[in-house]
Amino acid sequence: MRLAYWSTVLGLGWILLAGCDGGQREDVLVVYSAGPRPVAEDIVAAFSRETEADVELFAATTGQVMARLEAERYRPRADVVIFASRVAAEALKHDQRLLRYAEPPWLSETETDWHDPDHYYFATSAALVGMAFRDSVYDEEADWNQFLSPDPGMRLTMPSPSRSGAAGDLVVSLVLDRGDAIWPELLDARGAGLDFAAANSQAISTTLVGAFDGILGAVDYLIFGQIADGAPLIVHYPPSGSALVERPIGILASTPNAELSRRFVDYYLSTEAQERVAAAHLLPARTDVGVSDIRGSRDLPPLLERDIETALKQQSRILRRFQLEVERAEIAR
Amino acid sequence: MIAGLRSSLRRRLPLLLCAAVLALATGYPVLLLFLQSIFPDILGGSLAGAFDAYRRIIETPELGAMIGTSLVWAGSVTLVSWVFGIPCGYLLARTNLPGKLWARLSLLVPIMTPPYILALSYVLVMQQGGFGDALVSIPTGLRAWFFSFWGVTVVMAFASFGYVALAVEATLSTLPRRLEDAATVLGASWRLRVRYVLLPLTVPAILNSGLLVFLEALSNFGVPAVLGTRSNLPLLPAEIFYLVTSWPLDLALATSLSSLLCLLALMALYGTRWLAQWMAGGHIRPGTAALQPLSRRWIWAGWGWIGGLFLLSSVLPYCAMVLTSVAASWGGDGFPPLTLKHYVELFEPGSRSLQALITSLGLSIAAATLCVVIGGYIAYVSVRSSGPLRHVLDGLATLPRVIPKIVVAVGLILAWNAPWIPLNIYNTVWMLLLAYVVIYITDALNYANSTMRGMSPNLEHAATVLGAGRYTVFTRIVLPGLRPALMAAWLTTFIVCMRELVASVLLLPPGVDVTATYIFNQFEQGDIAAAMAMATVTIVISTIVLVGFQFRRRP
Repeated sequence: MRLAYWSTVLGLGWILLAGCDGGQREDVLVVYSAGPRPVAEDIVAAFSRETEADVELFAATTGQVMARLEAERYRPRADVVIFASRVAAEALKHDQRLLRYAEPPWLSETETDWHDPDHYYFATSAALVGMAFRDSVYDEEADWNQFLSPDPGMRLTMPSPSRSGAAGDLVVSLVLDRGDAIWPELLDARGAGLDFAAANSQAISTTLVGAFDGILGAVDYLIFGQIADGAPLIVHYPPSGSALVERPIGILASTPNAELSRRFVDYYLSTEAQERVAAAHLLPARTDVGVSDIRGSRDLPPLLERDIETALKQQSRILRRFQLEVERAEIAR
Repeated sequence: MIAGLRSSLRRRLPLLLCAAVLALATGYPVLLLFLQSIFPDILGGSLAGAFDAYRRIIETPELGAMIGTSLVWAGSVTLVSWVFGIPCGYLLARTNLPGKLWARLSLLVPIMTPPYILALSYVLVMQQGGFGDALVSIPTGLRAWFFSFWGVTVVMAFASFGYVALAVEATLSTLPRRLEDAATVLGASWRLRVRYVLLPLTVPAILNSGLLVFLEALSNFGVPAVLGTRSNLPLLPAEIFYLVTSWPLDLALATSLSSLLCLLALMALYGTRWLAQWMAGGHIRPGTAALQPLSRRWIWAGWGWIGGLFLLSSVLPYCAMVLTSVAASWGGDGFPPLTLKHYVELFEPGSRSLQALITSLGLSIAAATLCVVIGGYIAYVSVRSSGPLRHVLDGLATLPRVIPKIVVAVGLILAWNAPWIPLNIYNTVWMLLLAYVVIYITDALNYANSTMRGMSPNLEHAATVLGAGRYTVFTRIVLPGLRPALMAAWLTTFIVCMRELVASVLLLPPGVDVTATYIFNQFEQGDIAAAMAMATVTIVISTIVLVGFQFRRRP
């Protein structure tokens, strides 16, 4: 019993130390950010240094960030959120859970089309979602039609749209661009062996070990990062269109730290922070910051049509249908 | 009259207190979950959209099919576990098989292994370019079979057939042979003996162990999440998890599917009780069973069966796990060069992995201790009192054993994020501690309950007569009497908390990991070696604690 007694004291004491925060505090800025974690960590650390504010960061996927916001709906905790999907930010705006930032000083130096026209959220950067192939099987002409068919000619994988916000945006864009005719094509691709990886990193790592020839719905900056490390991959933007995925930042309406939150948003769109963003091979929102060497240029490839309001209305239905009918479909082997 | 009421209230205070604690800890979250599944916006104070989620379940054929698949799968796991386990139980109880101690140990290993680690190890063995391919190349047919309904079933059965074997052994070894002998004397054939004597007498044990396996399979999250998703086998717990954690989120659907899962578990429980009563063959006096001598050939066959199961359920997955954790490179041809690099990285000061390990240890120790103290006290209060409140207490305390863990976890999320909660417990490690205690207090309670029933209240009465207060009686008389049971309960709770996955994955605050979530996340991210190194370390720690307790018990 003595052992049990001391272990209780130690265990409880340790938990007291570890767990005694929680709730919204006015001196701490709480940031929930969808990946990439290193960029978010760098920017948060630099912001803390500059303003001497305490910042708490929760870095996860867009899905996890949304799940946490939903669970905390009636007891909000986050001050600032960053998503890897514009639809997610639009959903929060629609629920009136975002705080408007009327006149940011840096507005004219950024890609104004990427921001919310009502200024509830602003793009910090953007990525393109297209395809990636191992260089041995690369074909410049490759397009969606070839792969969304019973005979794609290669082994393909795709990050699960319910886990990766970017892949989710791509699926929504594809369905909105092509209409309901795309469902049987998606099922054909599934039947031909299209695999769904848990997240972007798993799709990339399984492709690198040779289990797959290519990735549909590959997020370009992640692939550029792999290429920079010497991976034999090629980013491909299909001629009929890729999805542009903005990475919006927004301030929650429930924040007690509106002033500090605005300063954080300002910092995220400062030249200094944007250079970090560009170094991660993302397209920075500031037009005066150059892109990484591997990315090469700011020019956009052909894009899929998407109207953000329709996307928001349809996306839940589209993604649930995708999850149940395509991802979980029984396929004959 | 008021004085009488007050004294009766005072006498009942411990019972009321226990009932209040349990109602807040388990009753309230589960109730809120049911309410939320019916009224999706009840936390916002609105009753709009009643039964909307249930209507969607009925209208979406895929969801109905998924519920069906879950039931069929859990049933198949039970059947396969019976096929694996009943012969083992018979061999151990009724034959003179040599080396029974080793056979029993071999059954304990898979029980001790967390099912998700078993599933991850099997993925390593069977996947394309995986472990099996590096040693012997796995035929495509076998791989396709493995990543399908039956492969997932067999892996889950490997994790649970030990329960069946041990339960059947325990029952068979106390059944006297008199009835069988009488049947033999009266000329009954082997088949008739099994049909009319052995089967009715063992049916309750078989059914009860089957129920345990069925409930575990129905509510297990790890195996469906690891293997189900890789085998296009959608199973309820994993799908509920994705509904709560991934985008687009659907809490209403998640809570209504959770409620259905709960209902199915309860139906299985009462169905089995009824079936066991209906089929059971009456009461018999326990005696020692005579052992059936086995011929040499049957000894070989018996050991072949037990050994083969041990090989597949323990040796193969453990080899895959340990070798992966020490392999320098992955995916190459032949045998990879070995390194301890992943273990060194695991214990690097300040690393995520070390932090996860420390968090897990702290949480498990605290949860096990709390469970034992609270469970012991509740058992004491409940056994030493009578009346209807006692039944409420018993019911509340057994709730978490029947209700799937994922349902309890989802209920806890709702319960502690509700706008009327004054404390900020969600998003802290406290939440996980609460969840562990709520989920595992039943085990401690059961251990303490069975010992308490056998303890005479005379000593406690004597102490009260001599003027000892309630507190003194509990700490000086009851606790020491319960000590062996509570030690066993502490140990069990510690080990299950160290490996707990589903509540952890749902309830952990930002940036904090425990070992199970670390293993799960690293595997999903593709860092298999780190995941397997952590799995090995967790299992080694559990084993050390287990063995250490065994040595302390008999010095």
